[in-house]
Amino acid sequence: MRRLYHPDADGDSTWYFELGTFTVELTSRVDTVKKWIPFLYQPFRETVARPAFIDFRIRVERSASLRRWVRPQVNFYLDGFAPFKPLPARQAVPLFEWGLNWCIANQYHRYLHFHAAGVEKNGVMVILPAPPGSGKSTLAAALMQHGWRLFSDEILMVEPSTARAIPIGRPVNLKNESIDLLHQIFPQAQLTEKFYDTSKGVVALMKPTAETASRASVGAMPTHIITPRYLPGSTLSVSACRKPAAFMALIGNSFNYHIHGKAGFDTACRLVDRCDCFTLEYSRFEEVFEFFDGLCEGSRGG
Amino acid sequence: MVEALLGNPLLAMEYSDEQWDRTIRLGRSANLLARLYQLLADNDLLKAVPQKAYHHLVSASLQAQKQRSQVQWEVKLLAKELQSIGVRPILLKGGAYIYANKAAGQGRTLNDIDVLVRKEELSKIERHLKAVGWYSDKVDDYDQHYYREWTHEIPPLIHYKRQTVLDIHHNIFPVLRFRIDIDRLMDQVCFDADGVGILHLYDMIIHSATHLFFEGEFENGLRDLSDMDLLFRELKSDDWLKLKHRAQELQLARPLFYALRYCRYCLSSPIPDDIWTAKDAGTPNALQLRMADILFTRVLIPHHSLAKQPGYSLAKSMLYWRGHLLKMPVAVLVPHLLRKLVRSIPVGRD
Repeated sequence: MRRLYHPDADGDSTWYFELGTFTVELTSRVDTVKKWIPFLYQPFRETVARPAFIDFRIRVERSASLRRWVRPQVNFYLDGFAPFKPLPARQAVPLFEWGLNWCIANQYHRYLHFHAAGVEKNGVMVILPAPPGSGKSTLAAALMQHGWRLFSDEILMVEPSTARAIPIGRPVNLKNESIDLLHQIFPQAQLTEKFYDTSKGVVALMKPTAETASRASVGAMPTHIITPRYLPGSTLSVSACRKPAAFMALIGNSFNYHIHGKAGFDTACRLVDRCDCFTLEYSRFEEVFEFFDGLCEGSRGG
Repeated sequence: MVEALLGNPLLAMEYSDEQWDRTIRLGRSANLLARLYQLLADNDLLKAVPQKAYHHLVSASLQAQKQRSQVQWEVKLLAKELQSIGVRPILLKGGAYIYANKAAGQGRTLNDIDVLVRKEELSKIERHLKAVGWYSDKVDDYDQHYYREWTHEIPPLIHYKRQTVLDIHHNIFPVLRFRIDIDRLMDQVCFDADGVGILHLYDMIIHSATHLFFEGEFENGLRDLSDMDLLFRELKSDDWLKLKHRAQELQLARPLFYALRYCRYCLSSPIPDDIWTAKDAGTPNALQLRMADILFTRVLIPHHSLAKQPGYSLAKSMLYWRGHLLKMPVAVLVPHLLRKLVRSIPVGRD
């Protein structure tokens, strides 16, 4: 990632970064953005000075007028267009992350986007489809810290023609209790400060591991579809999931399945056909790690 | 840049990455990306587009195709619903281009489906649609009054489940200022087996021109111009004079004049020279024409900082007021604006 200053602007910073297949430009003069964006995106590949083609040109900027002093707000702009209402200035960093998610999910349909997390290790690529609040971000963050490569904690992209999963490896969006929990278990994990009172509660962002960032342009063929559910106090229980149910879990959690039409249906069918499908109930990470590492060994043996 | 490409797609072969970057930005802000995709595909030029830009074009095209099938389906449902009360709707603008499979319907996206019906059938239609799942979110008495009294449409109807927005018109222009002989327009409508009506090609062009050049908003001005450009390209050589006569018959020669002029100017539309130079009732005088050139060329652009010229904001607001004055006499306009102003001041709310 490279940081460039506009020569004439007062205090504006502009960053260019390559995230997998995307080239993103971010311009902001908001202090928390200047502090945390270089921290979060530091592991990603440096780009040439100024890329010729930019997929998403984003600006995060304080609202003008009286709002500058009274309960300051920030706006998100995609190339001059504001898709959201402004948020309190303290939430500038999460706003950028959510906004970039929106850009990818709503404006870019080269890939099928499933509302799912994805992780990979030694050629075992697991899709974790689940609705918001099911703990998939937490699980994905834990697996990443445990040595798995993160594809995404939110938008899993699959190329329609090949059914290949394409990583974006963005910072992980952690919410509420999971922030302290993960920090305890993985003291080496690098997190931003906590952002309070967002629409999702308390939010902190976890920096992607070097493994995740350095291979952000290397795709993988999915091998497993595992629908996770966090059940407090439970011991790990894995049950086979019937293919039609796995299919519905996938397409029921998709952002642009309807836009891809038949190609979307065919791709989801191929995924379900070639993957082993499970549902997983868990409460303790050690058990989850054992299970996931078992998947890897199984694949090496077979 | 987008205009140049729409006028001459072959330019795609020479564009650099930077030019594509700008083209995608401008095309997106003008709602023309899907149309650009279609044009390049038709001319077998997609292979000339760099990968990164290509994916943005495909994304827009996929979205437009999805909407296309939604519109076709929605129109069928609507026609069936209205058939049960003996009404045949006439489609206008984007919905019509898509339904009638026009080139202007390729890569066309829309926010609402516009239909035209006879004024005397309006209340029957509204009552029926409201009984089968459509509602209006303009609940305010003044809004309701405004629409019914002073415009040529009823407040938009929204389908409770599909969220489709339906605009039902009984004329193609607000009825207050001057009469447009709507019966003459309806005489030339062609209905298909499903009971869906489409305006004659000439009338389609004249309506689109009237809409663009008499209304005061140009958010999608370039897109509308491109629609007309594609409709013009359907005309055969002996159609041009007939089109002009038709506009005179409907007393809408002026907007047609502007449409011909700015389609040729902005998008290099192939308007025959004799049509271009001929003077008739629609030709403005020299002063009007200079003014029109200054104003319209500033707003018939992608509304993006890359494309705005000096004077853009002034031209935009002058045309906005012109649009209002064309629609309403001052005696109606002033109280209306005062009312809007008063209502825009928030009372006791944070």
